Amino acid sequence: MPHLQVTGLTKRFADTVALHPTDLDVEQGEFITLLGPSGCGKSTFLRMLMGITTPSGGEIRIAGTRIDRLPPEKRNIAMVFQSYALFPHMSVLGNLAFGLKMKKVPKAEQTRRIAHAVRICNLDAYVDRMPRQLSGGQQQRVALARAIVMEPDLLLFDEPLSNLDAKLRESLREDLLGLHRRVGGTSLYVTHDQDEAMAMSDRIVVMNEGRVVESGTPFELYRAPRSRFTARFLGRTSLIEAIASGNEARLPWGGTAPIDRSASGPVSLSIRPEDLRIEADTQGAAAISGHQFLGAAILYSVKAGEHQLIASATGHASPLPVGSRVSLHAAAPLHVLDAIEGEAA
Amino acid sequence: MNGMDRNPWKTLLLLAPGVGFLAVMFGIPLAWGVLGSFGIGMGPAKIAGPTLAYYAKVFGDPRYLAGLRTSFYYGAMPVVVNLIVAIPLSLALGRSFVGRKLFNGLYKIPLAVPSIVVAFAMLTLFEQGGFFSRFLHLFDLTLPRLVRDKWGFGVIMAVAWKDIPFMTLIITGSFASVPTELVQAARALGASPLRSFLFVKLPLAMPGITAAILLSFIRSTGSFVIPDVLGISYPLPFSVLMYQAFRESNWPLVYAIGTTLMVASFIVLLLYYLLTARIGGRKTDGA
Repeated sequence: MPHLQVTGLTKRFADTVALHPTDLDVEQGEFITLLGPSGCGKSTFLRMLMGITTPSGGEIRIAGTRIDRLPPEKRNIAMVFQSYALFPHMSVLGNLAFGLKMKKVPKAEQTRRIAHAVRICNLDAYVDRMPRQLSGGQQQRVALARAIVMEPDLLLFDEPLSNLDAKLRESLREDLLGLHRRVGGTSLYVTHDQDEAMAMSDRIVVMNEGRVVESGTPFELYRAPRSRFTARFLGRTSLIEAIASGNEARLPWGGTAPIDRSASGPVSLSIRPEDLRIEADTQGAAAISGHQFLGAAILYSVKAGEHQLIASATGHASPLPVGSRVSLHAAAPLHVLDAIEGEAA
Repeated sequence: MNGMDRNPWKTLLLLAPGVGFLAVMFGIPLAWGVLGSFGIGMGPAKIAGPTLAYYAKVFGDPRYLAGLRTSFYYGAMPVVVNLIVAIPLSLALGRSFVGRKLFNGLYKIPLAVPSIVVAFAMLTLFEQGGFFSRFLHLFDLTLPRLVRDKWGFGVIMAVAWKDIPFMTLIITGSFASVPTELVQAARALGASPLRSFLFVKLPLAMPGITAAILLSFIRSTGSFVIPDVLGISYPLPFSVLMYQAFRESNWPLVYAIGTTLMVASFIVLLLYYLLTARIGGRKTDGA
């Protein structure tokens, strides 16, 4: 039995559907990310799990017990907010102890849990400070510690890193993940940042317009997305229409390339930048129309016929000048997308 | 943008009307009044030197001591009534319900009603022979004395009635300034709605509520019309005693009573601030 089991969860407002009936199973100890643009229904989903938004339909079960009719305080679910939501009138210690006092955890147990959380979140120096005396990153760690002391059945994260600067965000990602592993809880993370989702998740659930588009491991979703939406939302891609026959496809600018499954007739390909190898070639079918030097790699914009493609090369050589003729080669079999009804070509 | 205009004369010029108004309209009467309460400058016909005679009267005569107590009583009790009404009202106004907009307008009406009208409205309701006494008479019941009564029921009700919208406005604003996420976080951490209110929402709204309490208290201590119409004839609050002294042209006594009332109010303010700072511990700065 999955640890968290969501079936048919729905939220309708007067004239809009914020979340179409949605199913989700999460295993004990998993780190799952809900990824999607703003307004895709991911936050509504999280708020219903937490109990601050009432579902219009569906069920939520944790370890088999139905919780969707319980008020937030009766669910053992902790939340880390984007704004941190620390109590400004309480010290760090007061914030950490708040939930334990509310749940009437015995004093000795409170002390033990707080000491543990303070240690693993690196807060020893700050326990007596007020939240306003802490930096954003420190406040974030307090918010996390406050959730951990509850030893929740489920830990929810609502874009917890989006108020921080890029450097800090990356280092906190690792900290967060390390904590998740050490604490061993089950986490559900909401973000619109695909890098964050890829870097942290066991599994990503991609959402758009109130529905789950698809889900899978970061590798599956990046290498073999089913939908155009996922292919575009996760990383960079060039979407190309081609004609398949067997394990090969005829490309619109001439030539053929291997594809990752056998098909016949028109197919949509999602070509990642690293799937294309470019070679300087005065007779080549394509031309460089721009480049970004990123250090580790060079990202080329390439024009092949009327198609604009993205190709990457390692950063060892200096970039080819704009206007150079190049030939294109598939570095790996190109990925064929599913023909999904309603998805525009 | 900043630093472009560092001309000190411009700043002075901008400050001049405000400072001037305060100095002329507040500073001069204040100085005049405080000096006058010691008999200074009160004209050749009266005592011209510094004297404590008027303060001796204020603090020696039981009529005036009782007056000070009554002023505070008439100031504090409406605040208590106010809080009992305004806090739940503010919480209700923070939610959405049918007719909220209409209600939001209606509850502010007392702001526009003059004190004298309120006083007479209370009189028609609670006086012997007024609405309630006639109504109770139908059931052979008699209404206890509620206006010009020993406990100041009529005064308290009228002053509270007048101040409820003022109090509610400020308190609604204070509650609204507490981020909803803090309350949600408290709920997720196991606090019931009541406890999340008591431990999170209320303490964070406290600076605003404190301000409302103090402002309302000061307004009520100085109110004149309502205790004059609805209050018992002994003891009289300072405001009414001051008016009586004025009718007798006893200016130094008017000043002595006024100064005492003002100083006493300041002391209460100070005590209240010290007390709430102690209980509330470290205050929030809303950051």
